[in-house]
Amino acid sequence: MSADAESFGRLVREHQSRLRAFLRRLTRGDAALADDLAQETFLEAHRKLAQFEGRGSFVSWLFGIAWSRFLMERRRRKEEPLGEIEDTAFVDPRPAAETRLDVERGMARLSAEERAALTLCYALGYSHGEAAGILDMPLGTVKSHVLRGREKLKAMLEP
Amino acid sequence: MTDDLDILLSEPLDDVADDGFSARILAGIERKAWWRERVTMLAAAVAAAAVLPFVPAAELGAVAFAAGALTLTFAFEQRLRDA
Repeated sequence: MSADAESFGRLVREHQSRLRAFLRRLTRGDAALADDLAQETFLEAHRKLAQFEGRGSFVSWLFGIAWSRFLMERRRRKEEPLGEIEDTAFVDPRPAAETRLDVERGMARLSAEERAALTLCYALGYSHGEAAGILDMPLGTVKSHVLRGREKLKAMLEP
Repeated sequence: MTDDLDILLSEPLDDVADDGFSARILAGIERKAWWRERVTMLAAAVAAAAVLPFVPAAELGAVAFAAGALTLTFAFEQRLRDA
């Protein structure tokens, strides 16, 4: 194996878990699709490695590629949107409880943009500005996705 | 509720076991590199074959020498990059 492939392999091993987990959340738990998107993301990152300007972190750049891959897939599946779910879906008859599972269920009912913004800013610890860079959105848009997503989740989880 | 929600949202994402994922990525990269190398060599061979009929017989030796030197330079540069 070439030194280039070996060092890239280290990057893949180091970041695969977070990237795949992020994509699983975007695809509402579709592990196979998330892994396909993660694979395409890493291959594209390897191809474009020379274009990485080092302005942000490598991981942010990687997440940006993953997000655009996700959007491409969503456009491709026009008839079956990945990010949106009818409000009637995923209705849980149990009383709302503040559990992680409830949060995951609630997340699945948010728009993909809200899920991505909330995941980046909370679970992955990015600032709003960094998330805006990753999602290629204006800062204000990211902030409103975070706020709106959080408000929706709060309403879903409150008894 | 607000604080609890923030705590829940801030929990790290579940770990995803590698289970050969990284190896598949690297295999894909190696495969692509192998094909790229073959395609480059093929393209060079086709270009050489196209030019050959127009090279005067007396200069064939010099052209072959130049082409060989060029090939060795590219191969050496590739080795250096991979090292």
